[in-house]
Amino acid sequence: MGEDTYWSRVAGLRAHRRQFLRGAGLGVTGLAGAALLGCSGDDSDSEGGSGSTTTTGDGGGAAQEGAPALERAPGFPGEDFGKVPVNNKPRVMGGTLNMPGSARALGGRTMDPDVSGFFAPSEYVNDRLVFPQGWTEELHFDLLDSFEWVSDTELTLTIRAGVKSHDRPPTNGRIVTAEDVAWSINRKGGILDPEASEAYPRRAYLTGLERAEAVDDVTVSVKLSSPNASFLAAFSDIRQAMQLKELEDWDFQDMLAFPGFGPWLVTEDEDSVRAVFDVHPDYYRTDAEGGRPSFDKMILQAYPDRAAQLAAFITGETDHLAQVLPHEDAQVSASVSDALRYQSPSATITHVNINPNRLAAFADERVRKAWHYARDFVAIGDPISAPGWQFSGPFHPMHAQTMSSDQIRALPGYNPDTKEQDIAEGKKMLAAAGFPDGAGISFSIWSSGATGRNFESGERVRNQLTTAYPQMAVELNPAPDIATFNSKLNEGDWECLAHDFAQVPDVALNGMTYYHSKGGRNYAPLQESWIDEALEGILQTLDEDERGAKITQFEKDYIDWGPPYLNNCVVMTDHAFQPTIGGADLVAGTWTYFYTLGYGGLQRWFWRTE
Amino acid sequence: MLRYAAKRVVGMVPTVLILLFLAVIMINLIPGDAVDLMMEENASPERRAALEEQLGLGEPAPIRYVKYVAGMLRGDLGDSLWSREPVLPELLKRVPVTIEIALLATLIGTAVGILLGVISALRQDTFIDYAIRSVAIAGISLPNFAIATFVVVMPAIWWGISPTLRYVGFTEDPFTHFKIILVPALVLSLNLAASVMRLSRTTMLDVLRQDYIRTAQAKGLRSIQVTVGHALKNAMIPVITLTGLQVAYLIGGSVIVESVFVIPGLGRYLITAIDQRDYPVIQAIVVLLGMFVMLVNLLVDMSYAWFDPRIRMT
Repeated sequence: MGEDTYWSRVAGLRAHRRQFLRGAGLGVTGLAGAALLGCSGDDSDSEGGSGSTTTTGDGGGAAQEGAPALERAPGFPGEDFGKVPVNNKPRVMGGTLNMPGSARALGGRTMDPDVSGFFAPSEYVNDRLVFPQGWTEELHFDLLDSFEWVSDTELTLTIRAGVKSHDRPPTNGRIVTAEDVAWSINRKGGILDPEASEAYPRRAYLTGLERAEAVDDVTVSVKLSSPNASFLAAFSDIRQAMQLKELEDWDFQDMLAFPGFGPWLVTEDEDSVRAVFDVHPDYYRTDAEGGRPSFDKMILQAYPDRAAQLAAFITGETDHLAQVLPHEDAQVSASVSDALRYQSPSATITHVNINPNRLAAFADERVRKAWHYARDFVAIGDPISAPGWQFSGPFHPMHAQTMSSDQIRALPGYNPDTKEQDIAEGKKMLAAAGFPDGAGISFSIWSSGATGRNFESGERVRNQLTTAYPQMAVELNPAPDIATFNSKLNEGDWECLAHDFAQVPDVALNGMTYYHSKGGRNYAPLQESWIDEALEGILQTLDEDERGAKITQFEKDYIDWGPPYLNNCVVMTDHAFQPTIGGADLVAGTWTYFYTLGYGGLQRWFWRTE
Repeated sequence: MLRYAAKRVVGMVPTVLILLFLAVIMINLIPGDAVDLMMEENASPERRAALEEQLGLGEPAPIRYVKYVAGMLRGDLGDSLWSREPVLPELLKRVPVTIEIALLATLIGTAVGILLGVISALRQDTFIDYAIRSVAIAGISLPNFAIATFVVVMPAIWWGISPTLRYVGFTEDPFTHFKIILVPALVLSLNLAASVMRLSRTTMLDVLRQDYIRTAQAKGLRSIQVTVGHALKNAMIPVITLTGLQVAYLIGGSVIVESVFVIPGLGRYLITAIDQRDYPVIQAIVVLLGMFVMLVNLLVDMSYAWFDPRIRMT
């Protein structure tokens, strides 16, 4: 591999630097997608073994007494990183971390970590091969020790040696081997049982996977049928933790028998109510490299509603309150005045999408553009987000190579300064298409919930459309619960959808999942050959600059085409932590899934302070 | 009396069967099922059909109803679609929790309601009377879930305290157990206390105007003797009826209260089962609650004979 490809950049080299701007809509410029750690990546050049442990002098890591000093994103803690306070009080080891959760996380759904799209206690007990840096998407090693691209379609993974599983049945402390990893990769890719492959929603991330095989105890050889520049990034999704082979015999019910090797093991599990985790005493990460739990115990408690969660945080019963809403801000600030507040762009994009398969009018590009032009993104984003939400094109603006929020904001249809002209243009297009003021167009918006962000977005979109095009008949039809929502979604029985989608730290993977005709979240589905070709091209392009150009071109083409799937905004999430919690600054950011700490993997970075 | 009770018990059977039938029809009309939840957003028709078959949801609802009744007659209330464990043991674990809270709420509500009703009647048209009646109106008007949420949130904001939302069994720690169930029981009792207060006041006022009360007063009996010894018992018959009817309401109210306070009772089990479309659990709880309400009504009817010997059960 002599060429300068997507894989050949070494750690530390970046083609661009992201600059974050304040205000409603942060602007970003691309940071190299080649922030992977090298072609024959080996992260062992720092003390303490694998993992990035270099301490930088400027904007460096947590400098708290007793806490690991870790490398941070360039420029941290500057004002351009949203709001990320650093708790500098001395660390106190041990204790219990109390996290609020939802009943849905703890029961009433499939607990298969490779099948479920939603978090579950199982996601706290195993680790991924790699995990992303919150602001830059740069991948760091977890279970992975090194990798090498033997060719464009053959990858060798080397895992850390001597990683111990949990010392209780069914694993009994055995060593995690390459066979586990190979089996897990094959399972996620849906190739262990091709007839049941549809059960694995993230198999599309591993497009091209033929087979993963263990070569020896620590080496896995992965063969692809076609290049996939995002293959490693696929394993950075928080739901892509490696599983152990004992999972084959698990009943998907008893959390205490869940086979794991990660930082936590479930010691108590009350379905839909509460889960208690003890720290894995033989966890492989060192304290110096970070990400090794400082707490002895973690309790995940379901609260019946938001009011109870708020009360629990105010009384100190929980250490965290997720996603403080604008109308809760005053109460939280008044009741817990020294709470640590973290604001960073969410990884989730809210959207309101039309189903062109059900609404013939939207086969016409003019109708799709009119649909776009009526949307007032500011009126949707302001009420549902903390200040600083971002405009989003077809891709999340916080990716290395996508159009920034400011760039999107300037485009027709998005620009709040030209909204009146856009609507006037939309009216003309509708009239030209044979639907003057929307006459003859009628549909129902199906929202994932009868309250909350998605419902509100659907409500606002309905109002905006009927105000802009008074003859258009648009109803809002909220789903009373998840089962009802999923039922219509799975049957394709929807005309317009108000929902959201958690993005992964890779543009191509999101595109394949969301817009590709075979994508797991392409619910209509859109079936456009030009979209499929463009996305497959992005996925297979290994040259970074060429890939970036393709991404930009797709974004422009998609917007210009008249987007049926139309993203609203990237909300700025606002988390509150008790003043005695440290370490959250290490994992704040978009790509760590910091927006919802219900996803496992982040609590191991926190600690108690004095 | 026994013959009367036996006739009533036998009469429950067709009622239960009809109730169960209605429940099966209604829950099958709700969009979405357990398969939709298990498959989340990835249900292809083939996978869906396979899982439906596995869960026994492939058959039409009437067939499932007949099979369920047959099982019920053998004491088999089916298996949960989620845990695949028999429903009956889980129900038996939760029934005492709900009954405990409902009973406590009934005791508190009835005692407080009768006391306030009697005071209000004896102090008719005074400030005390107006104050008690105003509180009663509020107690009837405010929904349980609003009061429950208020009780959870406002003390946290005002005083930094909040009820514990984690259940502890009686055998684990009796004192903590009682502390935990007292708050939801109080919340649940408010509406009952308000209704009982208003009815008690009305019936007491009616009784206090009777000739025999005037006679008792004229004989020189003390006020407390007149009130408790002569008036109260006669005023209680309508109150008993109300309390009996309210038990059904309390069981229904327990759904909200158990959810808000995270109490692992029948009500919470039911709401979770509805969310999860766990049909066997829903059906079992509906049958159980139906039988319970009918039994309570029977006991209420039979208690009339004790309060008023003129009433004979035939």
